[in-house]
Amino acid sequence: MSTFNAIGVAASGVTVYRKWLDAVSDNIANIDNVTRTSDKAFQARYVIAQEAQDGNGAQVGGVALGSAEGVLVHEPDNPLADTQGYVRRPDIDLGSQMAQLMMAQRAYQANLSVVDRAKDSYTAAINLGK
Amino acid sequence: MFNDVSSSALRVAVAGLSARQTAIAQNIANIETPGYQARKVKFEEALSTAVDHGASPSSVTPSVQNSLEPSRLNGSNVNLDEETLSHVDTTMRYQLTLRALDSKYSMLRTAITGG
Amino acid sequence: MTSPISPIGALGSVPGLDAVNGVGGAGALTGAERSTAVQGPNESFASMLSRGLESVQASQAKADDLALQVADGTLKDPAQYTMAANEAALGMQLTLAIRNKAVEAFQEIMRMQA
Repeated sequence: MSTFNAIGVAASGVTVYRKWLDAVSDNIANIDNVTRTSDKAFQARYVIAQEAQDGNGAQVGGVALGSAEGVLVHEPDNPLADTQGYVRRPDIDLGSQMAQLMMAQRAYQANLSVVDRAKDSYTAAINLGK
Repeated sequence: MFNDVSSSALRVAVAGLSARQTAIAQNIANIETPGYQARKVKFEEALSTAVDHGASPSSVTPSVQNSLEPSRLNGSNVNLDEETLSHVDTTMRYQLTLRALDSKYSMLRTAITGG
Repeated sequence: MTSPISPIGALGSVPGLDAVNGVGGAGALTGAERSTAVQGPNESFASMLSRGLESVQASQAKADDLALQVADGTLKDPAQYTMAANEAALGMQLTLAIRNKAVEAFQEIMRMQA
């Protein structure tokens, strides 16, 4: 991808934000994932973006996991409740996940637009002299 | 044959705009990378200074510098609106510059083939 | 200043241009048609062609100046550059076409005289 450098760089960005979008959607999908107090709560995933090591674009530096303790909620009617009637719910705030979703979406689309525009530039360069 | 001032300047501009396009792609790829410093490519001022002083434009090389924009909350100082507008401007100028080089080539070609 | 090997220089060497000039200057021609190259009352074909070349050179210089503005990003309206480039290219093609016709006409006249 190094001949059409800008496209390769933008493509790395597309990958990072796609993974971020996937992580956030997964968090939101599991927001009501109730577990027993004897198990871990569903842990939210947080994608950490960093500059690519070869200097071309960005990469996923790692995935941080949210709290395993979650939130203890008193729901005696829940089939998974323990002897005292508590269950674990994930420590995920829908509002902040939605904010992250919007950020990831915006960054994803911005990188896709870069690919599109860079493609036009390189096409013009290829057609020079025709 | 292709060393007159305007051909030389156009070649420098093509190199500079291409480097700028890559820098913009880098910045947008790292828009959410904590602590990232946006990069800017500069060459226009150096180019017009060289032309004004009669120096050969081919001595001008595009330079990459860090952006002076303030950082946002996550530590990255990439300004998406500015990068997007700059990218649109860069791609169009890149195509216009290529067009300018193309018309110089085709004038010469017409003269060679005798019309 | 255009470079030594500029496209305009290539047009300058027109074989037989002086001969055409001489025919026009004589006024009357033996044979059928009057040379179509002479147009102005006292103007020789050579000077017409060199005026044409000068104007093409001027339009090329203008296009080059605008190209410099394209390169350093100071051009306000891209259409100015594309128009100037087109005018220079068309001017050159027109001058070339006139030259080629003149050469054809000259060759035809030479055939007649033989």
